[in-house]
Amino acid sequence: MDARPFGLSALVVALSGLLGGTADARGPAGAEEPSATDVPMAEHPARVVDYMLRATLDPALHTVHGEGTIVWTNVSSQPVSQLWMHLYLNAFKNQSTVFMRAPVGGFRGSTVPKEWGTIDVRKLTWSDAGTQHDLWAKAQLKRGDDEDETDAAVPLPRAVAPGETITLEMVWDDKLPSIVERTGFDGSFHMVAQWFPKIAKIETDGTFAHFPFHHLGEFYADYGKYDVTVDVPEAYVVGATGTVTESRVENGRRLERHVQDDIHDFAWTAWDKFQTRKETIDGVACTILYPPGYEGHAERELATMRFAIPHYGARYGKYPYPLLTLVHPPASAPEAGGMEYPTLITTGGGSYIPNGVDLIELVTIHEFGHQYFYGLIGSHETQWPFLDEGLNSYAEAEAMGQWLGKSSFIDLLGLGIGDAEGHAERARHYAHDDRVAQPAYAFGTGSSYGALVYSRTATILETLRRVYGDKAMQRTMGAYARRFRFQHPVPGDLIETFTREMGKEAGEFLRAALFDKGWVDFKVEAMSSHAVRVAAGIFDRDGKRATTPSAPGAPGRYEGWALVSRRGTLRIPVEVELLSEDGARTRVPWDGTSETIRVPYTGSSALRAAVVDPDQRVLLDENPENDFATAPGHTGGGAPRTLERATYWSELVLGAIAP
Amino acid sequence: MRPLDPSAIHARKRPVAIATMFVAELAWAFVVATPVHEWAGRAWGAHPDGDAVLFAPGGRDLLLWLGQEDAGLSVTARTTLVLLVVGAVLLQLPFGALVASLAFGREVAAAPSVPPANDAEEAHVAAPVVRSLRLVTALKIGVGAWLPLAALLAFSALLSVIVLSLGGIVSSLMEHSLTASLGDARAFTVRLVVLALFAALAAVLGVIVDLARAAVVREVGVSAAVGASSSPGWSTMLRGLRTAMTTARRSLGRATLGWAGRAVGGVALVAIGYVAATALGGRGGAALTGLFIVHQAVVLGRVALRASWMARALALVAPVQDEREAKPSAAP
Repeated sequence: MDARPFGLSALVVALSGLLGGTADARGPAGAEEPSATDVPMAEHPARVVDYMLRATLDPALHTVHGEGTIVWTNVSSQPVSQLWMHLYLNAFKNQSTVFMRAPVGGFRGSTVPKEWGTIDVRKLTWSDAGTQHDLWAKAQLKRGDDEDETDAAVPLPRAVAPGETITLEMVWDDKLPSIVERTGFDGSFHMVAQWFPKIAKIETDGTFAHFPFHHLGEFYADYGKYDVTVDVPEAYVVGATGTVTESRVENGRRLERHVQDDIHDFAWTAWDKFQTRKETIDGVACTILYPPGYEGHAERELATMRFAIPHYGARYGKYPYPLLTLVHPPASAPEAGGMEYPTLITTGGGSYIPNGVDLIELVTIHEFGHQYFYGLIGSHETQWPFLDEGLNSYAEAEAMGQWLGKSSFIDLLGLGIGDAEGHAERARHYAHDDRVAQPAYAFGTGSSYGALVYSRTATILETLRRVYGDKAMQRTMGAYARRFRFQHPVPGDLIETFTREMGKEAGEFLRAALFDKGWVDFKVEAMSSHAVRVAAGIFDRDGKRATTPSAPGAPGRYEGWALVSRRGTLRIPVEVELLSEDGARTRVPWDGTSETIRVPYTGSSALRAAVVDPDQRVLLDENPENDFATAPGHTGGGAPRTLERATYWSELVLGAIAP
Repeated sequence: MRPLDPSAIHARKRPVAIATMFVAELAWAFVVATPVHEWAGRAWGAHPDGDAVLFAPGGRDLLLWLGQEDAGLSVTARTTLVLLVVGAVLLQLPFGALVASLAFGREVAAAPSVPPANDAEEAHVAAPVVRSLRLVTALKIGVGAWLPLAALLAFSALLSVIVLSLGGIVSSLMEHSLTASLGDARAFTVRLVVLALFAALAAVLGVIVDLARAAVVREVGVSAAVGASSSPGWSTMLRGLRTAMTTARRSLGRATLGWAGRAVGGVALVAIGYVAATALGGRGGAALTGLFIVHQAVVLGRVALRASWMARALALVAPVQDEREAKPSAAP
């Protein structure tokens, strides 16, 4: 969710002219080499819950009438005597819900909806051995004085044994909110998500991973089959999760049946103004639904998918579904954009986004990445949000870099900004605020949630990629994605994969960075060099005392050192570059385990400067402004480019405002 | 000292005046650039590659620099803004001198302090002196015209802000009211068109203000020539605006076209500068020197185009101003 990147971009755009041109390596990626293909990958998940639903939309009242059947299997090792059901739409019922009263700004969904939303269950029954039990009569929606009704306990008349399957019938009514976050309506546009009573995920010990819908939290569910018939007015175009197996028009109504195996959610959209574009990419039938006049956006989104589907397939295993629907919501409903559901994603972007500002591409690739890090790798989004949003942000930055080069986010007016660098800058300001690896609801603000979960995770992983190499990272992330396809991994699984594939140090680096607010700051402390000379003074050798007089060193041979320190708790290998007066550059590797290192220098001229991490591999470095130092008596390169650009742009501005 | 005949007003004949304006702009631009240069230098100047790191693809160090949580950015931005505003006002002086040079040509040398040459050899020897005296005389006119020009600058800036703000509000309202019926993409196009219309209106108003500038400098020059006491800046500005309005009534189309052609030329020059900056990127040494030359050539070209337009503006206001001056004397 929410791929809108760092807030500095506007400032960057504003100042881009001042700084003028940057060289760039923007260009297409090379051939895709599949990685970690030897790691076994499940073809299907364990099937826990099937939903057969029918949804009828009233676009005038913005309501959905639903009815259907849930077939649920107790896959735990314990008998279950109570179900938990999520009623997410009730998060928008009033201002006393957990969602609405969360005191967190700085993230999406912070506005109060103009129209409230609700989900009312009319019927929930279980036919057990010829007896029909009314389960909803005893359901408990609220606890204590809490007004929240998003997490309902449903007692069962008898315990469901391990391995036993039950069938539930249900009827419910949704009143959609005005678009508030991910879901709702805007005029005749309807984004219908989190819209049906949904059984919480059962864990192996018989407990349910249930939780109220929190402002910063997302979802978690079991895999199964969804068979949903959507009933809308004939003029409406429908986009929905799953393949269309049946479509017909009856009495002015359009009925579309969508069926999909191996997924854990279902969302749909209906709008009478949608334009449609279709293209099959790498065997995946892609459909773009977009507002009138957004043909350019649709083309950019398709171009993104032409890169992304094979790229992600090579990196993280082939996309297993036959279709993907991309929904570009109308500009008046931006909160519906930037969200992921199985086989359906919503993108975003206003009427005009110039080429060179790759926002559409970034959002599209981010949301598509969620097909993996959320969809296929079904981690607990509320408990461990970094496992989906963080890993996906890394995958997004990696993919954007592979596709568009180093200036993968902005390449405009001579300014080149990379997606990964944007994440690093956003994350840097929050590095010490909170742990990355913690539940969504534990973050103090939406800003720290966004910066740490999305951007810091991406920066941690990008640092590992740059330090340990692209192939090692591809192998590691590929192994994780394949091993845990259709599983529900936890942070330990990720760290264990890194330890196994990349080494113990990398695993420890990842653990400390995620769980211990780990940080690192390399610094060049000092340096010195002099001509090689014979040591002067009094020496006792071979029983004789001799005095060696001071003498100037021989020209042409110099020796010295550079003192480099590593501050912080993270240990990671790095390189130190020594620059001689004659222009020679020498790279010295340092494993980064100690707190300081005195790097020896020998050369044909004096040591002029030292730079730690000259290739900017440690993107996590807290303060790159101290990554270099110049020897006493020497000056650095100065800032002539800035002076030139600033003077030129000042002249232009003066010429414009003061003719 | 008499104003030149409109047919004799040509910017190409005043290279020294154009160069002087260019140098003045360049000098003040250096001053404006000093805070940001100092800020960059303190942060990255000690790096062996200097501020080249700010121009590296990916932009890590650029983002880091701009994203610092200390006061560097805000102090630099505010200081730069203040210097730009101060510079805009101060540069009215060399601008007035440039327009005076255009309006009076070699006639500025006909001021009482410049004795006529007796023969060719004397003229050759005296040429630098004459040029210096011309410059001094032009600058004197610039000083005399500074106050009304500065007032015109404030007036035109206010006018532009009002027109463009109004354009922003009207275009936004139109977009919102049309989104439901046209869809947001087409409604946004309408917004852009409306905004462009207001921008065009602001440009036309700017043309009229330029005519007023020409009239102001011409009037101040004539007053100086006859030794008349200069009238207050406010009334000179108002007379200039009246002359400009009369001129606009007669030949707004010609004036606007004259300005627009040169404006397009200016934009083309900036585009050349942009291409050069993009191509040369963050390279230093000879490439940076080359870029500096290209950029300064762009600015010099823009100053020349500006001078050319002001010459045109002077030619347009001259008949109107002459008629106005002739009326009182013809009355008896």
